[in-house]
Amino acid sequence: MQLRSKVVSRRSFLGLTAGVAGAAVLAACGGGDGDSTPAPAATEATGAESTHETGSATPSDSETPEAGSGSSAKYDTENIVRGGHVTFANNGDISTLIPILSTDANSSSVINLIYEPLLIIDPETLQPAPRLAATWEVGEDNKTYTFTLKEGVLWQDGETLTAEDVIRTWELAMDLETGAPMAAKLSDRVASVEATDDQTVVITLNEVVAPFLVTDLAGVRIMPAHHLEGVAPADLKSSALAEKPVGTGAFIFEERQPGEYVRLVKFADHHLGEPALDQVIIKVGRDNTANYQQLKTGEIDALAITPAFQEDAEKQEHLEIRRYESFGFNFIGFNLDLEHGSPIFQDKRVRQALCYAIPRQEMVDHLENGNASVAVGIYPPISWAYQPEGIELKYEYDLEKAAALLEEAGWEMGPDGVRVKDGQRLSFTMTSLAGSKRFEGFTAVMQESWAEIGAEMTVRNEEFAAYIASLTQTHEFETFVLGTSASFDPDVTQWWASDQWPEGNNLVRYSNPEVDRLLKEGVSTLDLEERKAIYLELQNILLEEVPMFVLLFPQTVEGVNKRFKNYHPNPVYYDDNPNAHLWYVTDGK
Amino acid sequence: MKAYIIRRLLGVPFLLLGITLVTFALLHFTPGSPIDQVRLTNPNMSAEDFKNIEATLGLNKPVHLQYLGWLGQLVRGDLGISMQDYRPVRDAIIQRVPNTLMLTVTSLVLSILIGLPLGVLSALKRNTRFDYITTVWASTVRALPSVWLGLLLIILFSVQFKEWGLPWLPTSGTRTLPDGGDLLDRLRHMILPVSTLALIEAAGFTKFFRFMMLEVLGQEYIRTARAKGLSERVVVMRHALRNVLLPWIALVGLTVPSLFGGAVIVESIFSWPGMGTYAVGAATNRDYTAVMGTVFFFSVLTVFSNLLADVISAVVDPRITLE
Repeated sequence: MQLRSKVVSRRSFLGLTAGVAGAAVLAACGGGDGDSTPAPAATEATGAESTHETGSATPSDSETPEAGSGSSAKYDTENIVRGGHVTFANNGDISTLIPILSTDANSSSVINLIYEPLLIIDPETLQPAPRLAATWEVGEDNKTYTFTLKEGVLWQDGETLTAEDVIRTWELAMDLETGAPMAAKLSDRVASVEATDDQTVVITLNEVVAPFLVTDLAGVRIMPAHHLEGVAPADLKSSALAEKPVGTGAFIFEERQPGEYVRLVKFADHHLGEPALDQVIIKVGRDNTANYQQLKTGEIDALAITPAFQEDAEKQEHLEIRRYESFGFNFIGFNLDLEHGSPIFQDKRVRQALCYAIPRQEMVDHLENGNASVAVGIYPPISWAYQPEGIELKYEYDLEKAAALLEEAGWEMGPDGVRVKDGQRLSFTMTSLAGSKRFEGFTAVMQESWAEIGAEMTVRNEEFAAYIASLTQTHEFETFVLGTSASFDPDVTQWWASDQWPEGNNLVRYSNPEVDRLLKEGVSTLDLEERKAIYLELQNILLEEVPMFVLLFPQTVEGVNKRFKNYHPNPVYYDDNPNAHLWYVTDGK
Repeated sequence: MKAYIIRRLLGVPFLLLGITLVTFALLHFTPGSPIDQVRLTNPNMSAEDFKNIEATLGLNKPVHLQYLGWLGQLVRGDLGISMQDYRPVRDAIIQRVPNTLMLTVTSLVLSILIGLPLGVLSALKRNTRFDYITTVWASTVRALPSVWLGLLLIILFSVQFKEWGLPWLPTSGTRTLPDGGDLLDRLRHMILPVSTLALIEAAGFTKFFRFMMLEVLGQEYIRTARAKGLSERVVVMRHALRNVLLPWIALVGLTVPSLFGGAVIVESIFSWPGMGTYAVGAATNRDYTAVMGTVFFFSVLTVFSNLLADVISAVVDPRITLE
């Protein structure tokens, strides 16, 4: 089930910003069939916007198409061949074509080719970059953002983009009745969205929110106001735009066969230049193995490849293998809630001992084919908050240290090889996702290694929905293993703040006033260096206490047909959709 | 018989009511809810956002009110809106059923055309080399998982054939994109999924017909027929085969519902947009309305095909009376 292949069987767990969405949980879990790699989700970005007071767009040249993001050097605009189509395969069907309602990677992979936000996130710098907004400014109060729209942007029906479209979109995105996934958060953060003239939009926040542009704004893709007249918020999900989207993006929705495919055709008047491809086809694939066979026959042009097929893929002459770091991560958690968790974990020395006793490098080498990195801290190597040199507890594999910590905590080795303290055995269960090959490997390694220090772990496999419910709703688990994607911004309030239990993603009921304070400070500080310092301090506390422990950060490996050019999958826009107008196929077919 | 049918029909609404009630209860007692996936995939959403989505889907109401609401819609002929993709469940069923029937009915016909003669011949030539080969083939293929056989066919007839420079078969969907879609193209897309289903089913039918034929051939009326001096051809065709087909009609009647939804794995491997994957997706995602809609649809099918099988059996077999 993993959640596009670019993910479910669902490929990646995490989503990013609301509208954009993430790949699915599955993916990171290794998906339904277990072995998918996490897909970076689509749209959020990592922050650091504070360093940019102003952004500005490069002037557009109608003769030569410009790159939408990333270093334009990578993109070959000289040898573009016009015509033809490319085919992708998602791991599941789309669930909506309304951008502000999307919560899954499959829907977003289609939506992102049709609709655009005011700012995108540059995958190279992880900073906001201009899109429908040509420039933006942050006011002195750090709460007022002024966006100037790019001139002459046309909707796919020929109308011109105006500030009115932005206002209407945000109005709906913040309306609880639409069921938009971030409506409550946005309406909480945003005080007002106003147009001062046809080309200028001012967004005022209630308080300073450092990751606003990256986690919120870049995820709100603008919809045409003239197609939303008279649409009640509650009816948005089944409105005319849901069946026939109209955006400003490089491709126009042409047709959909539910369960089979979505077909898009080029928008010749796209503001970044006429797209080179005539069509983009996104098929619904469900089986990783079958999808991979289609990559081999050329029926699919690009696909994330599971470890099992990497060796074979490298032998294929028509394929180019792309590897890139992702925001996906795999972690374990110890339930600190006494009602469901085990009292064993109340002592942090037990948690630390277990973390020391996980051979993570071995997991990377043998389970992930080397396509992953051992976590040092809680942030992935591509995050700007990744600061391995400042991390005090790196948890390098050390069984002696682990055993010593358990001794210190009063756990004596029992006759059956399992430690005992006050009549209680050091024995517990780990809730995992049934069918996930990745987790099967992880749990087997941990089980064996923990047995060596006298800890007995039993795996409890649950079917996907039950697994998610155990973790997020009933909280009935002792420990868990989970995979998901991190947000592009290092704000991790959702995972660690004490008020994020039982409703949020603080799955283990961790509560620490110091952590709560740092999380608040991190969000309200704009300076990048100050934020780095805050997140370093936060990491060191979290690693000292280890209520949840990040194991490793998998990379994504993608096979791309060599005929498909100007396609650079990346952790922010895994299918490189901001540059879709530059994609071309060498054979023009 | 008329009275019997009317009596059976009168019971149908109560039966369906019971089925939907039990299904609804089971669904809600099963861990998980339609928004669970959203929760973990979107770390940027706040706790209020989860509650809000729950409210827009009506999941915050008491379960019995949710059921009555669903029932109310059903009475008005509305299967509701999917919680997953916000489209009417009825439309999804109408769109997907023909796709599934294309696969299952074609493979059923093919598998009978293969399985019936093979099984009957195998029984008539019992303990010959033909019988041994057929039996081994049927037992082996019958035991193959369709996921394995499907992938094997893809690797052989698509990947390898392409590598060898031979004409190769498409592996996914119902048509070539973007330009295909004519009849020939659609038929080519059916070859691999239909073959996967038909091979396994044909093996099953071969075993079934062989067994039934042997059983019938041992009956006294066959000996009587032979004793009357009838030719072997008449004995087999008129006396034995007719009696083999009787239980088979009932069997086919009972399998009608599976024709509409019974190809989940093959649909998944070949990306075939059918009912099987829809139903499984609905269950996996805890899409309550879609699950209820498909369960209701299959319940109706099952109830009526059972009735039909009974009626047909009674019509073709005078020994059976419906009372």
